[in-house]
Amino acid sequence: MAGFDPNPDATDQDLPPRLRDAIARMHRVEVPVPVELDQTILADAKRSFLGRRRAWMLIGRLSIGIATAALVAIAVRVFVAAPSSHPPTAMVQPPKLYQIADVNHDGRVDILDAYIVARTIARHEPLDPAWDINGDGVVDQKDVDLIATLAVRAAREPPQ
Amino acid sequence: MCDRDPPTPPDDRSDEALVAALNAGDTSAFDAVYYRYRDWVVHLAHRFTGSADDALDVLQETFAYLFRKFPGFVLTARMTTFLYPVVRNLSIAARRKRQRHAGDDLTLAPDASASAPPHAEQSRDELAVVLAGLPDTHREVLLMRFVDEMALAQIAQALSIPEGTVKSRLHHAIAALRNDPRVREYFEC
Repeated sequence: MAGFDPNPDATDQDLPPRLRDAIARMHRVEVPVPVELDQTILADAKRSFLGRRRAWMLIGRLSIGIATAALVAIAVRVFVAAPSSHPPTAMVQPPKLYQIADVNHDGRVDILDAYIVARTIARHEPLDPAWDINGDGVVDQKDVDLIATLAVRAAREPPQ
Repeated sequence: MCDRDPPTPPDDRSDEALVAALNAGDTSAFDAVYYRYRDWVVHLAHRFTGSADDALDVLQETFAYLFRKFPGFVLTARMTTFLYPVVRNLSIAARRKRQRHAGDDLTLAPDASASAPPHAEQSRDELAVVLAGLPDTHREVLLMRFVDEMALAQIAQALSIPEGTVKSRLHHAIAALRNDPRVREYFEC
């Protein structure tokens, strides 16, 4: 820590050195800290920190993914999409890929489906084999990305 | 004053660099921050609580509180300025809890900060008695300045009061000491 500042702001803001030392000595009582407590404090800190950091990284990735998908969807809607003859609530039998990608079974493929799979992966929870969207035998980030891509396409036009 | 040397060599990175390292995922910086401020925190906690056991509890809670802020923590003041109110509030809570459990019907001092050292009554140390007689707010500023070695601006920030108020309280505390016959000898050359 920085040493005592010998240049107080005003002459009545200082104490004589002897008094200063006496007050400091009086209040510096030795309190031994057990090494086990040091280790416990540091171990707890690192453990909870690593857990929070993983969550932050996931949030960061998802935020970027969601923001990107949203921007693409908006751009497509504004500049590319032609009015569809099918109303949004039309009952159209979606192809199998979209059925699989509709993870939460709400009748549409959107970024929420991607988020569900990403969150499950990040939490190391059991993964539904049906979420292997790309068919490579494993449920991973590639499947999350594919769901996001399908969500953008679905926003452009309903699946045939 | 170091109660026990840390197991690793001191880290010479600044607090800002350590905070940045922690935010970037360097968990070794936890050790550096902890050992740099451990003794300061435990001494301050002991001053507030008067109990070594409570001081160690406050030590643990203080660093748990600090480390929970990572990643994403932004250090906007000196670390001691940031930690002071944390230690103070945790110490007050610890002291109240101990008094409740002890069935002690002594009223808590209006401000439990900077209470007189535990040995004041036993040693009849006149200086300790004089300090205990100061208003709590004056005594606290005095001890932050001359025991914790905090600058006036730091004290103001830690207590969330204007710097002018800090100067005023310090002035009154010093004037009270100077005018007290029991400690006047310290002011005489």
